[in-house]
Amino acid sequence: MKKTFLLACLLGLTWPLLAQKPPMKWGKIPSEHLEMQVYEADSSATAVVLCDFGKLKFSAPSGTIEYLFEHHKRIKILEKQGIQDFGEVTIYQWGDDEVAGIRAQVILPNGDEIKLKKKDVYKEKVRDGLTKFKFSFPNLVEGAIIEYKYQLESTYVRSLQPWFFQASVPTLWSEYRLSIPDWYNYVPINRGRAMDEVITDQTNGTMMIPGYTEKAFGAGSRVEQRGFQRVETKINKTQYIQKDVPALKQEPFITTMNDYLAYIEFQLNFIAYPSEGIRQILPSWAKVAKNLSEADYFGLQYTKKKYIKDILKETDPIMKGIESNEEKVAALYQFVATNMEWNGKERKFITDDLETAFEKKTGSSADLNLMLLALLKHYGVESYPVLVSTRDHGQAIQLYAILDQFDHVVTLAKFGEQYIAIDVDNPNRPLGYPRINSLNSFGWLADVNNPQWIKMPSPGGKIVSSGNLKLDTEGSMSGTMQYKFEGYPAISVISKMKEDKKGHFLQENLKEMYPDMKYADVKFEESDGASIKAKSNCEIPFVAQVIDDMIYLTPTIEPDYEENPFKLQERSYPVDIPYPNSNQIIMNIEIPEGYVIEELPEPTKMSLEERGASFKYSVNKINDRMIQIISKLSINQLKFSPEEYPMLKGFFDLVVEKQAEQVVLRKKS
Amino acid sequence: MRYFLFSLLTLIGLELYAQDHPEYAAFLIPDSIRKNANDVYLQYNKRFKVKSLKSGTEEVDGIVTILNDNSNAHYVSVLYDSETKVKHLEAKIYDKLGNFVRKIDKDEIQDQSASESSSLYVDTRYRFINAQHTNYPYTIVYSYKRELVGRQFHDYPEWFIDRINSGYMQSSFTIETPKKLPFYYKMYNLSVDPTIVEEDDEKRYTWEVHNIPPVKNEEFSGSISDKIPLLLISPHFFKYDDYQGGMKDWQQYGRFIADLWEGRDVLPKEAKATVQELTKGLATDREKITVLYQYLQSQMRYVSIQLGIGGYQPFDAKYVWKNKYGDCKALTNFMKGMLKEVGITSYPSLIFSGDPYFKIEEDFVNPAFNHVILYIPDSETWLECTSSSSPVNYIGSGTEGKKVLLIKPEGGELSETKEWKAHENKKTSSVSIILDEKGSAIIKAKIHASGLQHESFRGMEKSFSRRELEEYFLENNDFPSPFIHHLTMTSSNEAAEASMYYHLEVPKYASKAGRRLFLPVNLVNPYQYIPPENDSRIYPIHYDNPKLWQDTITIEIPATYSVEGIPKKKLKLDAGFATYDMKIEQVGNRLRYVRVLEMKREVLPPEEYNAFRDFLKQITKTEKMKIVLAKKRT
Repeated sequence: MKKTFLLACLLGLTWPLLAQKPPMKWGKIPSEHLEMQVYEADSSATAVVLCDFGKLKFSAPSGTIEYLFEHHKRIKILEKQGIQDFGEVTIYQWGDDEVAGIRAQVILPNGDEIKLKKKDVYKEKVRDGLTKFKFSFPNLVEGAIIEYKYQLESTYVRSLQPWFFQASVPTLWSEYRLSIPDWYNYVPINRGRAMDEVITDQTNGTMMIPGYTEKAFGAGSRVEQRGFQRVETKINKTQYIQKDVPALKQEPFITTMNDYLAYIEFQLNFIAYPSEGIRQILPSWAKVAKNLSEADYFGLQYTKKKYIKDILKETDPIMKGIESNEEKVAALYQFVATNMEWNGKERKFITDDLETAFEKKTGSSADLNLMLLALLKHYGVESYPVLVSTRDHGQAIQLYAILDQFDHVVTLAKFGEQYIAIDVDNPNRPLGYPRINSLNSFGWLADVNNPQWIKMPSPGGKIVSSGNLKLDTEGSMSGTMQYKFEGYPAISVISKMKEDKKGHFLQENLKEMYPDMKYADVKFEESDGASIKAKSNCEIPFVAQVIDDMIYLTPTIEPDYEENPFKLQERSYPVDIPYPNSNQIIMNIEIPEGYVIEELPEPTKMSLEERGASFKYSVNKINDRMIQIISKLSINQLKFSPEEYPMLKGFFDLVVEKQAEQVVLRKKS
Repeated sequence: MRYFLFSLLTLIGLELYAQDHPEYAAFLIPDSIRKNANDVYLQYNKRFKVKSLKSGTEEVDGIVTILNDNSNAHYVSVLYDSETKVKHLEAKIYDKLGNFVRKIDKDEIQDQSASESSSLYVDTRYRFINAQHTNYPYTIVYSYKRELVGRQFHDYPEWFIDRINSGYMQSSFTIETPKKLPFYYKMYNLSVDPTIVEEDDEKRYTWEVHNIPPVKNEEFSGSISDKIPLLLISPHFFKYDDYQGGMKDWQQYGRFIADLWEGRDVLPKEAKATVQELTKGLATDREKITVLYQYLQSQMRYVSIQLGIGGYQPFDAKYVWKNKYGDCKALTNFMKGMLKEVGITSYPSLIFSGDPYFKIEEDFVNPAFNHVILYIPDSETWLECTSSSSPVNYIGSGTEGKKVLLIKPEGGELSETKEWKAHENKKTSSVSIILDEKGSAIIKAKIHASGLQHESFRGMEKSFSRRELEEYFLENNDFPSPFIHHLTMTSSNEAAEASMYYHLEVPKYASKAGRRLFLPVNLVNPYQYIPPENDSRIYPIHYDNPKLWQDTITIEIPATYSVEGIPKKKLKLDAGFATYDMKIEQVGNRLRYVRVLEMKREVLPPEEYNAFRDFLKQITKTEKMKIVLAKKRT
């Protein structure tokens, strides 16, 4: 006891005694919580998490080390909406974990307790490796308090149960207590709001661990597990506390909410049993690369010929005579994309051997991209696997070599002078343009000789619309329109074009603005999978307003933005734009005979700091009968902080405003 | 001779694998069936065998050619639950020339719950195969068998003869039943006679069709039930758990439901006491109904749990009282119990909320209902017991104008919910706009909605916090970057009415060009929809959004500006089912815009589609107009 107190003093604790009691006791509700009608700090809150308490400790009841996680949560319902949002609870059980001891009850404002019956907890197997437990709180009214608890046993000690301190409603107290034997060293990784308190302590304890003995084996010896031994150990206790945590709500243009909610997770770094030395678990990145290269779910697939033996029978004839790198990449990419169908699942390790996947003609992203990698390497193209964490999945963690952070693998290949990233999903996806979900800033090149973090190449998109149009005295226009699409917009246009050869989809936006418009003789000209041109004749009746002697015309015809995409006044999160893009409009418009130009919009030029975004707009008189509109909008910065948001919003306000301005023509008297 | 035979054999052996089926080649499908199809069934056969009053078997085999990735036919899925079992499920894939590709392995058969996110728990599950292949088109040959008991059996399977964007080269349905277990049948949107065969004690009916092109989806084409050819069959008698029922007529079927519900509406003592207290001193039925309904809405919530016969039988009143939740059946039953306590009789009413796939008629019984509401005959009042905010007697979108089956103690009786008329679905806006020289505007608007138009307002008022309401408004309005000074919503407790009031500042309301300002007139509630072009319309046009919109907008223009041009000062249109009347008047520096748009429910012949589209196009264009102001020359 004395020793603990001393230790506590040394570490600068403020409430060492409090550290012993849990922050709440089942069924014992402080009267001020029962009586609470509104949460002062955020009066719009429909509910408040009064206390969220997690506890984790280790044990080895049957010889295998496991952790026991206990979760106790208590929520106050302030308004009807809170009943909707929190009235139902789902608890997930992954893999071999075991969830047990689910208890739940409702405490009404008058103090009455209504307990959930065991039979009202529904267990549902979602699929192999995932089960969920669902229950609904009975007798919920505004003012009621709900609390539930459960235990989870897991043998997956490599990564402990993570903890979220924050929710979509305010949280008064969120605490996670871990008791970990000294032999297990974990690295904590936290995100979002900082901890309010971290209290550490160390006590003595005992644990049963597997015993190891050496046994003679052939010419040498081997280590064998025999029985158990009770060993004394130090238990490291840590308490992470966050108090009065504000609510965090969803907003558009972000990657995923999980990147922002206050959160902590623990990865096993090394094990140091008393009888042995240090067994490093969390490897260095180099070690991970080596392990992966030797794994039959990863590296061996693209290095061992046996996995692509049958595939080579089909590719050899195709690859005969192909010399250049670029042609090899293009041909093999086409081959995999045409012969395999992506099943929609993003994975980093294969599901089936490459050979089996090829027979089935379908596979996950890992099956497809590693198949391509295997073929590229076989035919002598410099290529590597790159592990990524997709946008939905969250930001990558570069500091620690944790494989779980990745959910997808893409292929990086040398293509001419550059390296391009390849995501195989269908033959229409051009080389070098991975799915947008895969573009999440950084990826890890998992090559055994040169493992490293790389900045993912981020191809962009460009649209150039140009028109030569003639305006008549009724306000109608006719002429030709030309489009050039590059990059991601081209991919979308090419796939739409396959279903709609007449190009009706090109008119979609324009038709909404000008329902009578007609496109005729649409001709497409594909340059390569990543760019496409389109040309057509067009007729837009009544695009300009004719009122008495005046004609009023919006010269951009098809604005980039009819309204500002950023509508909120302020934001709490960064704005995340998937890829850099640029839109250019060049219109030559011949005005009708007998009219003069009365008014033209003022030119404008605007750019955000360091050209993160730029906009240039001008309408010029070429001669008495011809005006030319030039508009160029580029977005190059992919992340805008919340502080930069008002500027970004203002920037788009200007774009919308300028592109809506009118040219005024007057009839000569 | 031997040599000849040998070479003949090897010739055959070399050219055909025993498993290839060149007759599946996709190019053999005629264009008439292929047009508008995402997939074409070369064959589809469903066989239903009635074994007893309680159970039967269903066998399906099909050959479907998948033409593009819009088709979902590569999912072969079979529904089952705690009583109905899947006995067999398999599929094989063939390429575009009919060459065998592969057979789906047993370990590729997946299993998943059929519960939607809105349910807490539902015991129905799917067993399914995802038979995907690269390179369209390709063909799947599949078959499955189920043993039907209980929920999946008692109303007998149906036969969809055609579907949207699916063509059928051949399709058939067979029912085999002992003579002592007869059945009824009715075909919708098609007329084909069955072949009937008698064998010993059994009767077999077979219907077969050939070369059916796909049903096309057209804008405003009404309910699926107007288009999809369908065969429904119903048993004379059936047994479900310990209950018996029959489908001779709606009265008999309703009797079965009444049996399931019987005795379950008895309130526990405390609940009875609460009901008495709530209604103490109230004189009229209407008052009692209102206070009890509002009690239900404030105290109980919707939670859906469907287990076995619990798909038709409600959890009893004690359960709802204790848990303070229930699904549509349980909540309706509880409400019924409360009303019974004060001597008011009510009937649970089965209804299909949403778009039903067949029309309910007096002469044929098949229970395609997915929801229950409550009807109080003496006061002709309907109650939607799953809504936490609707007023008494409000039957809104999804349940208005539908046939219902009233469950009376003596059995079922068909009735219907009322249909809202255009003039009852009003949205009236009263707006004042003050514009300044820079084109910035102060906007004050009051918008009052009634009938079906008020639903979204009520929803916004009830579910959003103030901040969420403002965010929702900012995301969904037509003003360019407004600042909200004030935004409130109110809704009535008694009537189907709600209002929105806002006070905005819009710095870039009018766009400037030199000495001109371009002033949009109606950004408050403009009609903005034009259906796609269609020169070969097949189906009649069902206009089903009856409404009456009246907008009065006064705009005060700055004294230094005058009106240079108004694109259209007035417009009056009459399309029969709808009328449009708009005018703009100027008095001094004030413009007054008044627009009345009335659109009634109507069915128009397909030939009138272009005229219908033109009408909507003209209105849409006019609603978007901008008035031109110019600075007065000094």
